[in-house]
Amino acid sequence: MASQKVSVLFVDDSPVKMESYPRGLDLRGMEVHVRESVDKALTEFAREDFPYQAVILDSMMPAGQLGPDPDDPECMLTGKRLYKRLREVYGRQEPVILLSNYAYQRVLEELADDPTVRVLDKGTTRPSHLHKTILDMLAPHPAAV
Amino acid sequence: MHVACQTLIWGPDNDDIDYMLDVVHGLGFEGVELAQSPGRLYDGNYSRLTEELAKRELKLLGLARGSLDARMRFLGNDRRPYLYCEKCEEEELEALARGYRLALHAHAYKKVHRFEDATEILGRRKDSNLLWLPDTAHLTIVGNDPINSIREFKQRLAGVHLKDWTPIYGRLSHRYAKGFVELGTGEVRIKDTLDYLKSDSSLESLWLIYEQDHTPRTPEESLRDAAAWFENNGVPMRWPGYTRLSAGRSPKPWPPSLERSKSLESETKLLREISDAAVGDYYAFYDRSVRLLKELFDAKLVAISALGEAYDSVSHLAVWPLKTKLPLLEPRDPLLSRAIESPEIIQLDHAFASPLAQSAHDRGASKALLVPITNSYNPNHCRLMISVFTSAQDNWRLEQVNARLLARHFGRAADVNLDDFCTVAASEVALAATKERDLKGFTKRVHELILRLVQAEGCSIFLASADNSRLEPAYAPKLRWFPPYDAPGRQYYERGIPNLVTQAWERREPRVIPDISGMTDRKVAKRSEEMVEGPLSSMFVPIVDPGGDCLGVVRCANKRSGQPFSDDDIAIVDTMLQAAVPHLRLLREADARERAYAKLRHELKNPIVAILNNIENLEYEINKWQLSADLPPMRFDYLGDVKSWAELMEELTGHLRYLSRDPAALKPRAQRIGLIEIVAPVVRQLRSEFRENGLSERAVEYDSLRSLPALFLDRFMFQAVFFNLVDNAIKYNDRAHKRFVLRLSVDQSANEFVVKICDNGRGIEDGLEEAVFEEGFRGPAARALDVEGNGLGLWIVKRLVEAHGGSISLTHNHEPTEFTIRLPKRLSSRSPEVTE
Repeated sequence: MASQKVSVLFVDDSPVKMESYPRGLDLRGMEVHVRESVDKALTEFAREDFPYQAVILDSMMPAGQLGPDPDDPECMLTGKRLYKRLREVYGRQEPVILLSNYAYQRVLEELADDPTVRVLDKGTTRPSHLHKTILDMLAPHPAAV
Repeated sequence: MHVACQTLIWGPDNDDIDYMLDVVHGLGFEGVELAQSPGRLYDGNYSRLTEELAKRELKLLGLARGSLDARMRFLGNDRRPYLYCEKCEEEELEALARGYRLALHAHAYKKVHRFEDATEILGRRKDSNLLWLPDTAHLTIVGNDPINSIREFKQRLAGVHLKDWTPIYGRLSHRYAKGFVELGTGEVRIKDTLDYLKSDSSLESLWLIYEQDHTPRTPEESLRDAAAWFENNGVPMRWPGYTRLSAGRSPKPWPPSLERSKSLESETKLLREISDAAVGDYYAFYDRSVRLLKELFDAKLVAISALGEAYDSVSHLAVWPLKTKLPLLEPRDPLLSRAIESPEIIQLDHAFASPLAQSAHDRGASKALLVPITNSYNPNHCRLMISVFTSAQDNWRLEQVNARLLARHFGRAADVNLDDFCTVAASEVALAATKERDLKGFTKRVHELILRLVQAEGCSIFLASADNSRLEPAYAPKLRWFPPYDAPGRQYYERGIPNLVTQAWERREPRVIPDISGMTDRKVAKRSEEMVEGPLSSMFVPIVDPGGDCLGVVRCANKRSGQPFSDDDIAIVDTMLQAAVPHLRLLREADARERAYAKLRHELKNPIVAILNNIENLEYEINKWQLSADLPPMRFDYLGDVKSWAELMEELTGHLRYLSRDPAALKPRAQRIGLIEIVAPVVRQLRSEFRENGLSERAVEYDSLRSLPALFLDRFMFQAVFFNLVDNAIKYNDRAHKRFVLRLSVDQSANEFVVKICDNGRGIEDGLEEAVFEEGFRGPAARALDVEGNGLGLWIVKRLVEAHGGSISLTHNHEPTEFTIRLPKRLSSRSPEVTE
């Protein structure tokens, strides 16, 4: 059976600074689609034919259509809000990786029990690690076998 | 120029006019401005007053107290003395038409409050009899420059009140008069003002008036100093030396109105019990007072109400029977307005258009005793009103009570009570400051205290941005933003957009709005709301530091009693904020520093991540190339070198977070890890430092770390710990004399793991064992050798080890230099934050 490329949606408001991640995933055989804002990500989330097997979100981005959050005036948790929107509004269950500059403690604590999401610190996450994490998350869960 | 004195310094109730005039005359003043109402001036006998003034060669400049009508009647046909006025409406226009001279007096917390208020009236009314009587202290309090304010209407000056003031005691209607100080000792530009007045030849016959509302000194002492100040600053007094007091009489006991002609045992008991209750809880004091008043008078209804600074609000502080819901009163309730000048017994009837009178009447009361209570520090202001309502058969009780005595004692007790409560409130803020080390935590605590102490339903704390262009919410959990503030990313109050929050900030003035929903400017009102239910009584208190800078604003919404906020609430919040100001300043700076660090980390980290990622991608590509083309390996590991430098930068930017005072930044995120896995990358990261110093990383011996079990540690924190310790060993090596050695060894006891880090470097001087761990400490060797550093490394190390429940100490100063880290044994089985 011909192996099909894994299709990944990569959302980051600084796509040039962070292009090394999509580039590294691409090198390792994944198909990466970059969207540089919350609003463009939401457009993708709304697609009927959602073509992505995994979603990578920057943790800290301008909130765009999500609107201001009084508890998060500096938009440190936009990625988490976007992740919630994907699950709760669009009903998508694909694996999600939140990339954070600070491995933000609150994000870690709240999402620690959710096996469909991982929070990774950019400082220690190289493209190979990101690639491996996606494959791990896509692999069938032992309990489901 | 002539110098006069105002008699308010003896109190508005003093009627020993002879004595006052003797002192004024004896100290060399040429004129007098009388601050007692006409009834107290020789029982309203103006002829007698003019005779007494003439005897002492004193000129009567003006009358400051009493209704306009009473003062005009007192003067009769004499149109020379001016009459203070606070506004220029129908009554004043009539006085002008009758030829009386009116002196418009800009007076903080009165109707003519700022110079701009006076400008509006003086500009509109050109009547030659409408004069301008500026006061240097009041102008300064409300933010006007005295000289500019005097200069603009110098042709219409009735005189100038030269008064000094310091903001140390507060700016509130209650307390501002506490800040009046002797001439030349405060922060008002009185010397500059005097120099300006002297320099203008058109003002050479101007009257300078010394007025003092409140002083801890005796009136004579204060006046004597004022006279000396005038002489020392080139304004000669009438008799140089100013000591020639009229001899032959001593003053009457003061205040004479306190002499009781008859005594009522129960009244004495009441006064004693009120005094006893003064030191204690604010709300309990008023509840107890209405209960005591009820017992004394056998009253049907008792209310103690606070009046706003311009009588623009009425708030019932306590009512008997307790929990009685009295109607909200209009600012100018006719019953209270009638009594503001002096105590009186009022016959109630249906025609009396006051909801308070109506409530009392409904309870069977037929008479009321209304006792106005003035503020000890500001005798111009009726601060409280005691209203006692009785039935016909109890009238005799009202008649027998000395209402003035009650007013004076109760006023004192209320002042003591408020001062005491404010002191407690300030102490609670100071205590909160010792517990909270970050801005959000501290403002949250202050917020909770305000809600509790003024019994408010809502509260928001705003702080000015660094560039002072806007107010940002520091703690505002029930805030509701309205246009134009609800745009994404724009939730702040910009300077210049009118709402009550920015007004309080820009004017530095506290304010109570009894019912914000009743404001005519709906746009302004809507922008100023808090998200609470009900009539929306609101209070705005600026956070003003002693230097006059406004750091922000506190807004409170709705008292839980349903009554409007009172001036007392402003005083309580203001006192708390004054206690909070030094901490707010420090924490705000720390917060700004933390934000700057966070931003710097963010800015630095992205490029470093990009470099590290690209190195890895490049390695991947090169490996593929080399495999496919069978190319030989490179002669030097260039990529490994670049990677090492990038990793060093990444590590150093990570350390920035540990400079934070925020305890959350030092909360370990532990994972189970062997120390060898932490130390090995550190040694690799410092490879370039070793090379720079002519050393080899192979000199570091750390294999013994393998004997320790894996521990629950924050990998990044312990990387910073070993990074700093190894880096220090490199910097202070003694390569010139011996071969560099750095050895990490381990040991363990029943309770702890012990890691020793020994090197054979230059060592640390005896006596510095504790100091080396202090923030910013740089030892003599560091300075002598000009070693790069900022004295933060070991300070950070200590904090990080302690965050894991461990400790670090310098256990040997030299040959070897030895640091010992002790970690609790429990870290082998659980995270540092998990307690027993």
